[in-house]
Amino acid sequence: MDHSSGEEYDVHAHVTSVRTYILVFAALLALTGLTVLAYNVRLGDYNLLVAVLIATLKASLVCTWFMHLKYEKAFNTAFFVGSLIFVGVFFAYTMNDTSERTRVNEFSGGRIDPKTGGYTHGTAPVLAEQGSEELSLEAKESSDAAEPGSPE
Amino acid sequence: MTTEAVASSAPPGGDHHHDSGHHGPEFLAHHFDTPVQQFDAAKLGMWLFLAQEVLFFSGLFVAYAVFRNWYPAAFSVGSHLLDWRMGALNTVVLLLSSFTAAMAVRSSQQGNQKQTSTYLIITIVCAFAFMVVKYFEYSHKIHVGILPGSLWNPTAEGLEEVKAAAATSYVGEGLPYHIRTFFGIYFVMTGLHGIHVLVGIGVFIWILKRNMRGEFTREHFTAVDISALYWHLVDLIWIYLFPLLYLID
Repeated sequence: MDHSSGEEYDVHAHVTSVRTYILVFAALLALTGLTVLAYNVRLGDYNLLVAVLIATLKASLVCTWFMHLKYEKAFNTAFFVGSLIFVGVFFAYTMNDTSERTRVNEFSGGRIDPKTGGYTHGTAPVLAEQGSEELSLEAKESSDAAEPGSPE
Repeated sequence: MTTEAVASSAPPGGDHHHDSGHHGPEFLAHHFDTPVQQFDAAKLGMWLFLAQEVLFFSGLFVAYAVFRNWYPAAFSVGSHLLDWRMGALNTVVLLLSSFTAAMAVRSSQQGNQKQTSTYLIITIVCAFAFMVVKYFEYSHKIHVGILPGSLWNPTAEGLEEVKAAAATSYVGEGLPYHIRTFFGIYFVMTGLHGIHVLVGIGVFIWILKRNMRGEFTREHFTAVDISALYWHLVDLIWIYLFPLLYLID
């Protein structure tokens, strides 16, 4: 067999100690408890942020220790982390579009049509509505809030 | 199989090039030079697959974000229709199974065949437990007609539940139309995740059989390792699904 390349021949993986695995597992359980606790504290919009942050902390624990990313080749890690970066791009562009629909631009008075996503130029009535903030989908939602069982 | 076929036709003790069959341990496929190369290739392939899985699920997570942003009231009521204790129980079950999967890999790395089997069995049992809890949740929702989109058709009992959920959510009175949209997201996301759990059960049963046949050694535990990687990803998805679906104010 040609070993002259100097590379390793047999697989020698890093073996993590049982203690580490138990500690990680305990931390994951504790963080799950913390998620439920945080849910019962009224933080308004921050509830979502806190929940996602705790979930991300749990996810990094699983990746680092259970999935051995700590000892993984940088090349493999790059693929996985790279996919997460692209999820971020996907998320940012989509939210940037969809969350702005119906919102009136305070400078131009124009707004994005909620159905098409197309831009509507500002008109006097729209400008007049600015005081009442936005023709939000929320308002639309409650206006057609029918009894869920009833036919449409 | 191909390796053996080539080996029998190749001259024994011939040259050391790729065209000769037996050039290393039994498990080494003929297109790899060394076990390390074979192991690294398998790991790279698995990480690529996991990256694909992340992107695959990301479409649903983005859809979730868009609809939650548009219909916060409906998501609040919808979430209150789910029993967070069921979700929390399943989170614990799945975290435990991830722990035992990691322990199975560790045992396999050390060539402890018996212990590997034990941990694999616990992992499979946890996966089944997860599906049983999911079954109870789904069957109740179907029973009371709390279903996605055009299937939305609550029975009298279901409607009472929806009203009670609205009362405990910040919405109070009035039922947002788009609760059905929340359940569209809920059923598709947890359904797709559930399919992944079922696939994981199948994979681990196969790995368990191979382990009991003694196929894995200290030098060759690749299949156990990458199956566990898959399982951890399934766990990762659930770590996000639990607070996003069950714990909305």
